[in-house]
Amino acid sequence: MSGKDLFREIGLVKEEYITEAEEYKRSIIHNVAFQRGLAVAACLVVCGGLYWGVGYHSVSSDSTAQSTNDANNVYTEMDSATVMDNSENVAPKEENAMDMEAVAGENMGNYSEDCEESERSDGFFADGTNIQNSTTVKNEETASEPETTMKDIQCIDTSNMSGEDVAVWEAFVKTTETKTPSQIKISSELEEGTVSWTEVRYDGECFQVLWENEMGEATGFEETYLYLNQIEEEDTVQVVLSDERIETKEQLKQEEHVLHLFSYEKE
Amino acid sequence: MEDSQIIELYWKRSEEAISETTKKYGKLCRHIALNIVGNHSDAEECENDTYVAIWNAIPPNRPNSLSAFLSRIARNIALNRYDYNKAQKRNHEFDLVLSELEECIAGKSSVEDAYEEGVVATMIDDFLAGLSKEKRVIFVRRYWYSDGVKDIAKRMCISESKVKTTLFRVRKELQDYLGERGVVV
Repeated sequence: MSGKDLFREIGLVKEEYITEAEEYKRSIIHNVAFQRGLAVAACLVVCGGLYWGVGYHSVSSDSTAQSTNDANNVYTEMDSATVMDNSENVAPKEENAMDMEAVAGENMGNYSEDCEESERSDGFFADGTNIQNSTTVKNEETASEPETTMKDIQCIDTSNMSGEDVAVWEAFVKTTETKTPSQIKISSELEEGTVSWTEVRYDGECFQVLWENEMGEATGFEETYLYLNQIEEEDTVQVVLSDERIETKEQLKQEEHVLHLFSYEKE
Repeated sequence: MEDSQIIELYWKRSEEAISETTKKYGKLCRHIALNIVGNHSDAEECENDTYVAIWNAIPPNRPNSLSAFLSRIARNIALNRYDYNKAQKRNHEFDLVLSELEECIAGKSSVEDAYEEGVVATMIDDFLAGLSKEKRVIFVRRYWYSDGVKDIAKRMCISESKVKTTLFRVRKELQDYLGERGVVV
């Protein structure tokens, strides 16, 4: 049986699947329209609330100007205190980033920016699990102040690597041995455009890379993970692209998770 | 006009049936044909042949879904045209669709590979029934309508990479499924 025979056989599938595929777009449009309607309604409610709040506030401030001033002073003091608290919380994270930058070398030169970027872009990940996981990792980092000692440097030049249909990309990766998940920089180029940065987590067994496209949109890449699986006995590094989160090395070996598997000899 | 009304017009042998079909489904037929034959003039001819074929098919047929019925005819006509054209020119996008499908079959064809028409289709029906709706739609859009990956992504509001990933997996699942049922060459 040739591909064309199979194509002909697919032509004989039930009508309901054909109409389902034809009508699927419409249902999505309806959903989008519904969501937009909801968003507009929510905006109206918020605007209405703000309008009402401002009106109420201006009336009450006219009558109780002195008390409001007092209250404002209190708020200002509280805000300052909050900012100080926050800056204290942020400081270890910055130190951590500085350490990482120092360790990572030239390929990781813009690490601080990446850290900021990563925090800013948390919201881009559509999958709630990912957001939660990312946050958890950051908290762990801040809490435990990981030692990032460079044990082994791998420069994987994948410029000759060509994904069959998913991605053509280049990656320069430096690995660090850390006690806790850490972030390193990886630059990749995909068919659809350049991937500007990624968050890489090392869990002691493999690297998990979360990436997004150059527009800062998570479309396409929010569910794509890249795993570097070092196989000591074969002296190779497997690069596995998967659209599912893989927790263990055993899972990594399961074919169903693997989109592309490349093996390289280490330099 | 409702599909049932158009079908009634065919049954009454009214030529208005053709104009109403063109108005409602002309674009769909052309789209399906274009995906297979790869050029507009051939696609237009396929579309016209489709109208002739449906004129001859209704009556006696009374399809439940006119769009599916028309699409199927357009697809078959376009596929025949593709065969006809194949010697001289190729449609690379459609060749890609066929080569992807060949992945689902583990070998080369031989004389013993005579499958009764429709038997594999029934298996594919069962296979599709076990897929999620999203996967099924992606599969059908790609291998029934021969839509490009980009078009599918746009239609379904997902990324191209997601479409490619899904197709990769479904092809693999289909290969296993058919293999288990003896469709292995």
